[in-house]
Amino acid sequence: MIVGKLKDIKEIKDSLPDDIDSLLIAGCGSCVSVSLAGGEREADSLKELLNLYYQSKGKSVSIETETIKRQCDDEFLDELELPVARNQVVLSIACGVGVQHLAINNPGKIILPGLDTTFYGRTSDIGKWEEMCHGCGKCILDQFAGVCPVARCSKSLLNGPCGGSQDGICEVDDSIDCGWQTIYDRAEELGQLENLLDFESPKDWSTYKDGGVRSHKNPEFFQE
Amino acid sequence: MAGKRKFELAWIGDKEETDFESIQISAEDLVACQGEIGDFKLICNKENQPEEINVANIIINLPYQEEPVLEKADSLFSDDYDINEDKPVIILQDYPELSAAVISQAGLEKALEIKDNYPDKEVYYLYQAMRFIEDNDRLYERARESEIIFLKFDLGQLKIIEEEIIHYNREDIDLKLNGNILAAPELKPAKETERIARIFNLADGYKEYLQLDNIYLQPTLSGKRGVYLLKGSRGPTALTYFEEELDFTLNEVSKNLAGVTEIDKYDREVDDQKCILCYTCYRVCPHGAIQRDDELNSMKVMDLACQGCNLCLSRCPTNAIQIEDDYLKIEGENEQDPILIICENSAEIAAEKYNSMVGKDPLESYQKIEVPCVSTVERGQIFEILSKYSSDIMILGCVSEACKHLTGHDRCQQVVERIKEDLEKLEIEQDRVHYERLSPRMAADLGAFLADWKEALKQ
Repeated sequence: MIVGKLKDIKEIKDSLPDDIDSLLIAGCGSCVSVSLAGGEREADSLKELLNLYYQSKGKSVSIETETIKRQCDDEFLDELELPVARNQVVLSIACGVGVQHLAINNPGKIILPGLDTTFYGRTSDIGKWEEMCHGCGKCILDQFAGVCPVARCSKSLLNGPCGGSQDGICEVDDSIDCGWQTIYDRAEELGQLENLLDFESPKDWSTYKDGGVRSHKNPEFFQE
Repeated sequence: MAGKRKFELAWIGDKEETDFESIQISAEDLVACQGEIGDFKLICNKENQPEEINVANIIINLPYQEEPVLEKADSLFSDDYDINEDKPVIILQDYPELSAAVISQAGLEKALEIKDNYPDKEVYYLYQAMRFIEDNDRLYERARESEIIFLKFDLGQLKIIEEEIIHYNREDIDLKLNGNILAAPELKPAKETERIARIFNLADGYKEYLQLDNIYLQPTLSGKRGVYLLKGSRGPTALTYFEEELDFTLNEVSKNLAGVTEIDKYDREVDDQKCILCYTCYRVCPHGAIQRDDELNSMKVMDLACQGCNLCLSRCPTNAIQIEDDYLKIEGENEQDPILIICENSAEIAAEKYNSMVGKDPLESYQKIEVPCVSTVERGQIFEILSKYSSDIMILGCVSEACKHLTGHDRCQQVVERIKEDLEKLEIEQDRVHYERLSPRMAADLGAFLADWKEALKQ
């Protein structure tokens, strides 16, 4: 899922215009709710904090919240139409996709991000998420015992670890497991160590950032 | 499913003889646990097919994993040990750390057994602390009479040289012992412990055993109603008091079978239209009382398992879990009075005790929110109170080992710290929010502490 982290409150406050009189905090009820950053509860709590802030500055700003199922699909945006219309500024705490989708649908409105979209990851513990995928556009998990060298090796190396792998830990940070150690351990468990001896050619990055802005179509819905 | 059977009691791991209609399930075969006290459903792996077993109560009774402390020594627990004719026998207890109390008994019995079988053999008994439980004093006396040589050591007085020779050195004695060592093994949780913790949604406790250090979990409670922990599932001390703990647990099982009731009057309903199955409630629940409702495709709170802390509803990111309106209401006559958020299991009890001691309610002239656990305190709720009221807020939680809901005190502290950080970043006065920990026994402290606080507020 897409993982997000609520922005620092000072950054949020600084991004809001000085002459603001009304604000809509728009939550998203999908991925970022699961990562406890952009759902209804966070929207409500952010509203109370900003209320307190404007009150302490003696400013009158009306703040409301509305959380919809998904901000990245047109069909859910209906519920936001009136709240967006009656507020001067919208602070979306959806992922970067949701914020932009909302902006596309509301050309005349200032739509600000309240959340940093961090990565595609899994929940590894209560309140803890780990990156698992870069969305490179060409999955190679089958060749690496189901562990992604692109996302889980800090250097995205495809032909074994670098010299900075020490006792299973990555040199970039002590809290990161060496992706290649993980690949090796799992391959050994699966009896697939032989596969790792194959030389891996440079990856075709055109499906990732090198090919420009990406989009794709399901052929069942589009004719050439 | 291959078939359903219903039992009064399931033993996960080792089984003890009882009068209950019981079933033994190996930890390796257990795949999942659903349901709640009185009606658990254990899903087991039967030749790679799921088998569902219905049980009313569960005892997790995993063995300890014995890890040798010296490579070449025999285990004190083993009946298969070497006796070399020329060399003495050395019993080693409390190395490198203090052994469980029951090891003293095992060690003394073993020393006497060797002395009985080999009367001429020199037997040394090295220990840091002799624990006199049950009939150990009698065994110790017999051992002294049998001329077993006891050598007490402190840390630093004992060195193991080449795994076979023990160098014992203290002010008056300098001794090198070369003999057959029988050492007390280090006891660790069974290999399956972590997986079992996940299946029952139990927090890892002391040294990765399944029980947290908490007064509400004594002696064999797991935190999940109807699930009990014995021996190697509970911790090293469980070995010493096994018989007593077994009796207690079986008595609890009997009581449960006579009928169990819900913890409070509240219904906690999950709105299936709002629930996004994020499992946050499941993960935070300290009592394993949440599970997925497959029919509604949402989570649900199990009424009998629920212990009423409301942590689930305070952490649900979509506010999908609902409870009746009177929860979290501010009580008080004067809106200018300071606000207390108090835990009903600690400060509330301490206040009642203070009242009966001194004849004065220490909570008088405060506005009050009584909570089942301070872990339910939310950021939004505190910000709202700060903007609506001009008074300060004091949250009174529990001391660490006396939180009925196990981790409530820490969760609340984290919330309060984050609140203060945010207030500081926005240059809003952060000293209006206070957090203190109390135990229900600290009645006098509560009275004095609140009086001091009120005085400080006046100034």
